[in-house]
Amino acid sequence: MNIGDQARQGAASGHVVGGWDWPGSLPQTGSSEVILEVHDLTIDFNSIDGRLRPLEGVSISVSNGEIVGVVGESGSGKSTLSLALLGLLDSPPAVYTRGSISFQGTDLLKGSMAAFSKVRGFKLGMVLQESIEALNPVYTIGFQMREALEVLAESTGRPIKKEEIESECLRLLAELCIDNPELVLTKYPHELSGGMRKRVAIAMSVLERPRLLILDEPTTGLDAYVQNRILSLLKRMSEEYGLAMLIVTHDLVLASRICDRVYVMYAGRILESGRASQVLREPLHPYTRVLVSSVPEGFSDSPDLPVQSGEPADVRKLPRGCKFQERCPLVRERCRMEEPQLFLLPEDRTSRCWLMESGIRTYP
Amino acid sequence: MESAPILELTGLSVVFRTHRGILRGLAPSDEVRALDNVNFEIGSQEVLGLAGETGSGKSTLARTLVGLYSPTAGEVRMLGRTIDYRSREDIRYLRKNVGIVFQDPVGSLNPRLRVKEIIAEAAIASGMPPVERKQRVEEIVQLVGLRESALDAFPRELSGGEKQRVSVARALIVPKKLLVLDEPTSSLDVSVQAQVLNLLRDIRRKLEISILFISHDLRVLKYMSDRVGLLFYGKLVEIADTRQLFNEPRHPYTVELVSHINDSGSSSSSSPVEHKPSATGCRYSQVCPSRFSRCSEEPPMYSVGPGHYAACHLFESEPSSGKLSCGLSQLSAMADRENTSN
Repeated sequence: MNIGDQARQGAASGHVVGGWDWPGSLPQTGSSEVILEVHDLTIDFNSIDGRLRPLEGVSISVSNGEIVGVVGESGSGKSTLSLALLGLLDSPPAVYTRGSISFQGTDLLKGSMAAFSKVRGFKLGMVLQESIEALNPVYTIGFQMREALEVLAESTGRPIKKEEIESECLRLLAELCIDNPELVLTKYPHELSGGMRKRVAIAMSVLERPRLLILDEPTTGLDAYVQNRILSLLKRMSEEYGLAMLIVTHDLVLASRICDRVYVMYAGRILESGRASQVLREPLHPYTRVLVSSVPEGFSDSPDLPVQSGEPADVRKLPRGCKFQERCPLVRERCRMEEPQLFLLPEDRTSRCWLMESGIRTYP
Repeated sequence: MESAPILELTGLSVVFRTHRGILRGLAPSDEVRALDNVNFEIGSQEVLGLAGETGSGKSTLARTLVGLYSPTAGEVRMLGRTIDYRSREDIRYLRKNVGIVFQDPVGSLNPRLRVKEIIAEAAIASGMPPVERKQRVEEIVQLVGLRESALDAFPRELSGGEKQRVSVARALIVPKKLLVLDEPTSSLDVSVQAQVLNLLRDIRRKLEISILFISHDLRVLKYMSDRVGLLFYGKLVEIADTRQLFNEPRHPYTVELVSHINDSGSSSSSSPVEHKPSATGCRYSQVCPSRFSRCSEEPPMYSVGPGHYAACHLFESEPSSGKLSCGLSQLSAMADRENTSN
């Protein structure tokens, strides 16, 4: 039996080949310890258009083994959020104005940015939106994966044998349902299809056994069928390793498929949060309602989609008061004057809408 | 429904040849069969949806219909006229009747022209007199719901939704018989996608036009189309009335895809299998759950119901209507029956 067969078998039975196990992982599923806690995170960009605020008072939390979605349209600040969590925003122009990012109990924003580089890649993995950009075009997939494992071995002081590296790479690729992993290791990124590249990027990001994986639009640009495959793979990885994930996406339906909880963002703010299935079934914020009702349902003789005109918000020119007022079908005088806070509601839900001031209310 | 189809495709194949190495001219070439023996027709004022994965040949088909690619074999008939792709006259005729909206609104609009120039360009080319042209631009801008101030803007100043509206306006400035939409909404945000879908439905009601709607999003196709066809690596595997296709999918591939959009809760049912086409026989046979010995032969289109065709050997025993006309006549017969029974 060659290594590839072993790897595939290992992947099929869920065992780890090569004795290279996930540090402190598996049996932890079910523990609800908070791994990432972001509090009141506010970011400013000093640009030629003046001071822009792509994120305002964002608070989110992710527990061990939980899949959390951040949903928003373009310009909502969701990618800024994912980059901010990784400490990857260029500064200047970006400034962390307020707030804290506490990862496994340490505040990454206290002290220098070096705190980020200690966890980034090792405990805090990431899959960037453009998988072609995440991979180095001039090295083969195999070279890049081996390099990552060697760096990990160096930094943790646990030497790793060459065969172990090889079998580990093959095992991961096989686990991500890549046929013929030996062949893929010899390929350059441009020789792979989009879905394949995305899976290689995911494999690269979990090589170092992160505790939390941040995925920016993991399925955008892929067609619906490849999307489905990648989503079920992610879900399986999360279940198998108790790996927490933060998935940033524009697609609410997709998020509700694999996430336990979702946050809905608009104009750099969180407008609603709650359990994914609940948010999709009975959205509490008018914006979430727009998102939900924008998904086409039914046949060609069904009525037109109930959407207002208007485009997603532009952080350069936000209105006073509620940021969604211009597109809101239920806008009232108060919404134009004051911005609502994020009201805490029963069943761990929140909504930033004046309508929810005195608890959950059904809409007219 | 009128009986004469707007567009008929018979045995349409588009094959690309690729050459390797520096002596490319001498080396034997590889073939990519982007479209392989595709047959269907689009009726007057009908919306035909076309689904398929990346690489299934959807965009090749769209581009062939406006004369950007030439068929390797088979026939394209526009309003009863067989198009000879070598004749400039025929290509001109094709483009006079078919408008197209491309997937990428950024790449398909000239960045150096103002919106009103982009829209008017086709009208100028068609020789429309200036006075009429100006009026026509106003009409069409109203129709697609562009704000007045957008007319003097450059494409980069517009949002994604507005750019796609400009593309639609450009495609329709000269009245067309068929509008080909190649993934018109896949680059848009969900709420903007909804606006554009509403616009397209509105256009369909207002103008007497047929639409070929290409998308990989089955929800969108279901919502927009009268009939839906499914491509798998260049082969049309199933085509039927939308309701029929979504309620009773027959081809195993269709069954798999339709199950994806019906389960909204768990993702566990979707198989993480890569779809790889088989080199010989039925292209889906490599991953097909109901594969059997016959699948090493290429299946023809079998009739599996009124206007419902599936290319799978499982349906060989079904009563076949013999001729592969893909449905229009049967559909209208069905509609007649319904009308009389009411």
